[in-house]
Amino acid sequence: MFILNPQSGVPIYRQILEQVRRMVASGQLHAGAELPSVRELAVTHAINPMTISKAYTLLEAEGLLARNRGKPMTVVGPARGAARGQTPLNKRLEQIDPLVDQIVLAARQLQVSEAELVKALRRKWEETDE
Amino acid sequence: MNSSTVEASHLGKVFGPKRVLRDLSFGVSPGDVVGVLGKNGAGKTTLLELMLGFTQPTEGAVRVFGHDSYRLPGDAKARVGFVPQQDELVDHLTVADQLRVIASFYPHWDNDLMSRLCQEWGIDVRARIRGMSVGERQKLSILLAFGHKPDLLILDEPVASLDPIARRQFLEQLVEISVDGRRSIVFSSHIVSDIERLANRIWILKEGRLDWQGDLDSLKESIVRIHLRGSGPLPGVLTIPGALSLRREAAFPTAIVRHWNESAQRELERQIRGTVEVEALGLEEIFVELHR
Amino acid sequence: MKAVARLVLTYLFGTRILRAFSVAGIGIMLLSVVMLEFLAQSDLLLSIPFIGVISFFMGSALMPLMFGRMGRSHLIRVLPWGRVKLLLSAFITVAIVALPLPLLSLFGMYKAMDYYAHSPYGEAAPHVVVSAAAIARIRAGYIASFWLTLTSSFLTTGWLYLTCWFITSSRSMVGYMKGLLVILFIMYGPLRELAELSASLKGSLIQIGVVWFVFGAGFLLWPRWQALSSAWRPRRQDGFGALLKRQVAGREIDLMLGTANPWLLIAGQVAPIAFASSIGFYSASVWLFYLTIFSTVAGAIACQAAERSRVLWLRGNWSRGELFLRVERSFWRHNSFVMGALIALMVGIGGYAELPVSLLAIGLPLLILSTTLSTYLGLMVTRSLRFAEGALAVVVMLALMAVAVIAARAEGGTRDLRIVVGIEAIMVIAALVLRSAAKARWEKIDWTLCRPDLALRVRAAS
Repeated sequence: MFILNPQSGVPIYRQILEQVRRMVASGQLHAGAELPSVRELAVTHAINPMTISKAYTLLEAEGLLARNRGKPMTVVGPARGAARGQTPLNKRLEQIDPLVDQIVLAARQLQVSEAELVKALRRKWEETDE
Repeated sequence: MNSSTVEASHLGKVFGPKRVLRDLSFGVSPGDVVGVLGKNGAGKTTLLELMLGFTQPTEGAVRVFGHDSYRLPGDAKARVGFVPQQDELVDHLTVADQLRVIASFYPHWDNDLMSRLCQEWGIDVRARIRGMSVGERQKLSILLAFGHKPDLLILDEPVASLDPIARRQFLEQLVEISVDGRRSIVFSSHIVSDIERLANRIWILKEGRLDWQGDLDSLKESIVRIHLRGSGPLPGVLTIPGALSLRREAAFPTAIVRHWNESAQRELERQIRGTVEVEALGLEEIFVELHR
Repeated sequence: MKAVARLVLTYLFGTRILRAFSVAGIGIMLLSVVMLEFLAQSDLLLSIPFIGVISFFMGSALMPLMFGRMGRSHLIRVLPWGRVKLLLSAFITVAIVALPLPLLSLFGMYKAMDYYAHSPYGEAAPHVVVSAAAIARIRAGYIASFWLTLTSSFLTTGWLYLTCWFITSSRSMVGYMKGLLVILFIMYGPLRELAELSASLKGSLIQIGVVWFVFGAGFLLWPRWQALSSAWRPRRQDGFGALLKRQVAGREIDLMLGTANPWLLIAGQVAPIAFASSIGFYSASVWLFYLTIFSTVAGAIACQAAERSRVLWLRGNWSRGELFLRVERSFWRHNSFVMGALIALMVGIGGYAELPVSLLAIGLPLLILSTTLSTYLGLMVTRSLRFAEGALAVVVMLALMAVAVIAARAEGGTRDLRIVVGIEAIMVIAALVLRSAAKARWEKIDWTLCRPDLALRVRAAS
């Protein structure tokens, strides 16, 4: 369920943090959803279990996850009132802001025009559309 | 009762005229997976062999399970597993006999685990060791260190001649071992991506010293590449604390910095009257940069 | 050609200990030439060049090992003419090592000839003069004898290298056994011919031709043969394994140390000795042979105990001191099997050949003592073999040979017997000293210093 890249400069625990945050924000992980156990995740990805525990503990402290004795960790959803449990749009946009920053900077360095960039984004969007 | 598995203070080792290790202090706690990195000849093997008590430190001491490693008592040795760089298998035995010989030294030997792993890793127990390939020998050598379920597993470049599949199986087995958080693993390897997956702590040995030790995560967060985007030409004298290297020639200069944090960033942005963009580095890049 | 020269130099001077032997050998040979020039010939004087030749040979004794390693390496496949150059280097080394002995004997004969040509019967009969034609004839005979000695020496040197290869390459009983079988062959073949003066130049040349042709062709064609044979590799044989399997339980330490199977060694020693006796090598020669071979083998196995014991230390419940006692016990057990078999055999031979009882009575303790001595000498090697241990080993070996000769001579004479008993007493003391030295070293053993032939590997790689 996670896409983890150990060789990236971003520590693995951060990758997990960000992906859980995003999936919770989008509602893909709704309240009460179970997360894979530390052991399961560690063995399937062949990564250090302590790293995963660390991410889960931080998410628990943020109030996104809840620890259940002897059972998998579950998502503590945002208020169930919003449509399908989604966070408001501006909150969600905040999370991809750093990524947008990087894209725009790179485009300016490469002297790619605004129109070209938007076109490229649209193409990617359509590619990943189901 | 000492809670840490390994503890060393001001450890040093001299061989004849050559000083191999100097002033190393470190600890390994239960659950730690320590990745040891270093160039050839940086002293990795010597460090691991000191922990195993094969040789006496010239200075300082290393304690394993609370005992001086040079005089490690039997019950502590039974909790240690070791995979040497060069296997120490007995050529004329079969795999089954070799397993039996090693098993005889331990009161609790997990035969089920052994036969399961032999099957999974594709080791023919009837084969004679003399006829096995280097990779097969290495697999068997690793296997022999698992059978007594050691609380401290020390591996000296265990995967050098394993194929990618075998390496993955090996890594998965190490995860199995470390998952309950009671056992410790210390392993050296030149395959940085393996260390990156498995280790939570990193020791970087450079010319016999511990150049860096700590969490892999904080290593990745503290050593970064920064891109300087000043509003005008950069000041002639630029003071970047902890800079390992600086490349000015490009339009946007870049630098590799250690001990990076937010206050350093604010300070630098004020100096160049612009923005500083931070790029995270993979372990391999960090290792190379630390050796420039 | 440069590569070949470099290889040959590496064989002769590759490591410190090899260099010591080679240089000593060359030095002793030069010294003996000088001495032959100025001193009258005697038994003692003539034995000096032999020591030089043996030392020179020992200096290149690891040649087969290096040759074998390189022959099997992958590097050799990609180097241009790699196999041919390697083969050539081995051939040249054998030639170089085989050359000094015939050269020295030729020189010695010329010196003797000069002496006799001038005064064949010394001062007593200055009037007898040997005719010029006779001298010329005798000189031609020397030249012929030189070629004969050269070819025989070439053959023997080649066989000895094969022995060394077996002993150094597999580092196990099986290796020693193969080596002993080659020695047996040399004794039965070339040496016997020399002893019976039945060697002929033509025969030797044919032998050299055949041996080197077969060896060279086999070596050069080896990769092709391997490729062919890998296509239909037979299933692994299990017959020998079954023999070992029964011995695993309770024998773990012995298996790790390589002392688990005295039977192989016994078989490997009994056969040559039986053969040696059957072709008439009695008394002095037999003693010498038994003592040197057996004590060498015992010491050679003990030499490897230190590096093999690392596994034992990490796995077993023993301190360094206790580990030494374990290892010592394992070697005593192993040696007592082999010695028991040897003693039984020697008593048998002694009875059959009707050797004097006193010879056996003092000979058997000698056998036990020499084995003990060299075992402890081997156990003393807790680091990679250094010059001090090497030199000590050579000294002990030479002393043993001397004792064996004296013992063999002591056929009843009480004075000689007393000397032998005295020497045996000295050996007991020496063994005790070596044991305590070995024990002291094992109590501080550093396994980072005793890795298998580290120096050699580094040299061969560079």
